[in-house]
Amino acid sequence: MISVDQLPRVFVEMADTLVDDFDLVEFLHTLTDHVAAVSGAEAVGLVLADQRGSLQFMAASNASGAALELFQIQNSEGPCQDCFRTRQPVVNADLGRAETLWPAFAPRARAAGFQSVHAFPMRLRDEAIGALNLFGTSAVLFETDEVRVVQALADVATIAILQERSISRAEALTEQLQGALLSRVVIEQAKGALSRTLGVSVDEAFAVLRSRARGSRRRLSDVARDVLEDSGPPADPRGGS
Amino acid sequence: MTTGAEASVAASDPAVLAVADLQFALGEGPSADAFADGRPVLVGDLARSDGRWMAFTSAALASGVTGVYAFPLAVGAVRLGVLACYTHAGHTLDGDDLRHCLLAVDSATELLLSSTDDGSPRPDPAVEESLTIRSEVYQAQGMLMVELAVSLPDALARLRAIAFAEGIQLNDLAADLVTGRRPFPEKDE
Repeated sequence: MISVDQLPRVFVEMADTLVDDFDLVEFLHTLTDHVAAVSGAEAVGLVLADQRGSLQFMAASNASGAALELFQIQNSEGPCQDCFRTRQPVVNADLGRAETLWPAFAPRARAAGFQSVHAFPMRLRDEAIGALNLFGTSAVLFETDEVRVVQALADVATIAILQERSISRAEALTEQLQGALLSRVVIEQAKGALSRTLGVSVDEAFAVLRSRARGSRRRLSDVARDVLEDSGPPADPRGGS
Repeated sequence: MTTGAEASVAASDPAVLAVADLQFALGEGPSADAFADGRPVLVGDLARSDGRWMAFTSAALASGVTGVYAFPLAVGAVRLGVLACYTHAGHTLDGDDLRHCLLAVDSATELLLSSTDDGSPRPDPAVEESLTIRSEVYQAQGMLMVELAVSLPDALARLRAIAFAEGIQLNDLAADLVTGRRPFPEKDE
């Protein structure tokens, strides 16, 4: 069920971000948080297709344990994979009856406590570049109007990816997608390093990274690189900085 | 191909090497930016690069190069080098060409990572593995860097060596480490 009263604030906040110099990875994380709040979904994730044709996990409102695995296994099977291939939303899927559709995905999703799943394509003209994925612990059903609202939020994610430059060239899309995917890897490495340095969970380490980035108005990926430089050994002859 | 920010290590022909070296002589160009920013810098038409690299662009155009496609060779914060493709006579790379470049980037990255060996057992370079690497592998890599006080590349080498020696999937090993189902390995020394 969409909470309509939050929508104007969410769209205004995201539009404000898009006109500034912004960090794409942080923006996509914030977007998944917003989608979770607006839709009441328990976990919201975003996957992007790399240009090798593989769906890569990019950002999530709840990126731990079972949810993270569910976002990641959809590289081979699941609603994101279907919605990416057909470029159509996969909505109101009842996980209790999805065994034939997704024999590997559905049982895992149910074991993780989820009852409903939805996936919305990130569309760019006649192709899809990724998908937005919502999981519910109750059987959340979307009406037609609500499907349009969530699809609009998925479109905002697409716009953010394409926003930095005109996307008339395959070059710009490749730059943006590959750049975002590499940034995410840096952030994952920093989450791991920081969790050991501070003795906290990986999720808590991520929260620390995000608040440092916000506090210093720096890009999440730059803050992550600093963490890795500070916590690594002093000299690396191979130049891994 | 370029590693570090210092010199060209391989090129498909001497003319390409000359243009690649030009970027280092001048201290600017798409490869330097790709290395510094950790993202591809793809310029199909150098003549329209809006003065981003004034000296490099005019020298490159003078030698017949009209496009540069520079891809960082990196695993997150581990920067290994840059693979750059140069085009001439206004030829540009389309989506399929760029896909092929990215596959070459995967292979080159894998080969460079394998050269980080410290003598521990290592699986054969499995390029396709990088397509399915999960977040936990990178998290475990960061954790191991801190736990063992080694570099990030060595942390990944150590993870792969353990997975290979025990005949288990890298993704599964990493998930066990991240969730605490398995203790961290001891330091070597």
